[in-house]
Amino acid sequence: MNIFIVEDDLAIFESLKFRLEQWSFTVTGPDDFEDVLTSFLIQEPHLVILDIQLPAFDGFYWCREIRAVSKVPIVFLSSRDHPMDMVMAMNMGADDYIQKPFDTDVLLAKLQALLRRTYSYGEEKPDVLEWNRAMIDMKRGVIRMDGIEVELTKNEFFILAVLVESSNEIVSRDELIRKLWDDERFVNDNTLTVNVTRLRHKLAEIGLGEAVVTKKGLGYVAITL
Amino acid sequence: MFIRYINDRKSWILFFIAAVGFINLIVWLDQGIAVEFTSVLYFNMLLVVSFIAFLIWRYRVETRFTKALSSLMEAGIDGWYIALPDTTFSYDEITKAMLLQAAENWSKESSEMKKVTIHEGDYIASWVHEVKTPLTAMKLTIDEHRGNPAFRKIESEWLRLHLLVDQQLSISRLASIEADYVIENTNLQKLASAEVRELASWCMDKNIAVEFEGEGVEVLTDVKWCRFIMRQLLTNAVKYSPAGGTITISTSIKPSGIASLSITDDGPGIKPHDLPRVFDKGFTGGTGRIHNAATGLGLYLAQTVAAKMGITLTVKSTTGNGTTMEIVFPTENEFDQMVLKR
Repeated sequence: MNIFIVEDDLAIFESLKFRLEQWSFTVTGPDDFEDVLTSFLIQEPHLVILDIQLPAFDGFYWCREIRAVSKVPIVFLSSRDHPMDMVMAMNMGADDYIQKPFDTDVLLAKLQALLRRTYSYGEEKPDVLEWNRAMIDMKRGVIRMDGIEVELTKNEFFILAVLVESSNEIVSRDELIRKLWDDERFVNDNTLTVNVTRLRHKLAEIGLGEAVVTKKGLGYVAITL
Repeated sequence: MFIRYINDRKSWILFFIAAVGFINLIVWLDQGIAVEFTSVLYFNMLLVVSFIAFLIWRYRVETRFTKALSSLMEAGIDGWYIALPDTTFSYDEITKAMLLQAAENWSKESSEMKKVTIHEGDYIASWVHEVKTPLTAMKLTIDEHRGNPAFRKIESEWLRLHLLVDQQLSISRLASIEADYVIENTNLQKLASAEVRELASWCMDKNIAVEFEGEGVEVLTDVKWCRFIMRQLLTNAVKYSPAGGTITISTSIKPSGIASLSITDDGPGIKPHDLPRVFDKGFTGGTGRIHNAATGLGLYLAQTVAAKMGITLTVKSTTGNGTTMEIVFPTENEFDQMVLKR
């Protein structure tokens, strides 16, 4: 996936490029802000990120120019927060409007959602996950083993899912809390401890009590037994 | 008014009475003038009656301008200087000219002041947007190094900076808040949740949990300014929460159809004698609640914005037992009336 970033602030451009490349996107920018369209036509990107305040012409202008020749998803990135700017951007054919300063994770999530919608890119998460011969039903939030079904609370289930997704790797408490917050579960340290303890008790009911291991001072691991 | 007029014309009236008295005296003393007593009585009566009629007539004519002025003043309409009455006398003319000149001077001055204020507001707004570019660059760098504890400290400081910059932008827009309204049906819980996420790094740094209670409540409001109010109350709650504490956000609809959202922290609380003053400008609280980052501006701004939106803010607290701030929204009817009134 090729992403074309039109941003005149070099620090932001470089950081974004670095971050997106970590997610194995290819990132390019215009060679010349006087003629963004030519660079765009040469690069043929899958998605365009546009700043509004640019040298020579503004982002709205380039959005119209690009829209005249292409249906590529366009995301605006700007510090302007007036509803008028957003309305204008959308009217010119933008697909999203993200305000500066933004959270990189939020930006990434939005980009991925857009790309997925446009190109059916990226696999949908499977509904059922197998872990230590147990079946984790992502839709219903239950874990089943040998006919015994254990129901988990939303928090417990989310923690289990995160741990199992990176099986046999340590997930730090900070990372877990951050992921929970990203999912709008605003927990603190104590709640996490309580939740993990409860999760372990419930897992013990189906004989998987040892499968979530605490690494003192590091975090938790979901191990394959 | 008539008594005032008589008082103003005192010397003229006295002079008339003296003149009449003087004539009577001469008629009485001068033997050469032979007039009947009844005749004297008759012409005296005639003079007095005609003088009273004259007074009433003059009163009507001479106070026409003043009366019109005072009725104009009572009405207190805008653009009074256009509605100034016509004049009959030269001194009224001068008064009118003076008033007109004063009005012109005043309007010139105030329009100049307005221009300066608008200019300043524009300057601040563009400055804030300018600042957001380096802020964004910083944030990207911070996001790259999330694993590093030092960067986590920087992130929560960065957040404070970002909040202050955003607050500044809101202050410069406060004057024109009515022009900025975009009223829509919104889910209170979603709004609050988005605001909590904004404060994520600060909360995580202080190890604070946020819990939601109550069902999803929908209200008709302006999202941006509503979030502004929530943010002020939330930052306050986070600021005064002890490390490891919990903030509870609960939404509810009262039987009368009034929607409200309350934010409860388990901090040190506010002393009863301080309670009435928490929304005052510059109020930073007494011992126990003193905080070096407190400017006493946040709650004052929240209150100012709330008043303009028909929202009521209330605070409940007992010392040592945390604080609850409640945002009470106007019912749909009240809001409609408020919008119509503008």
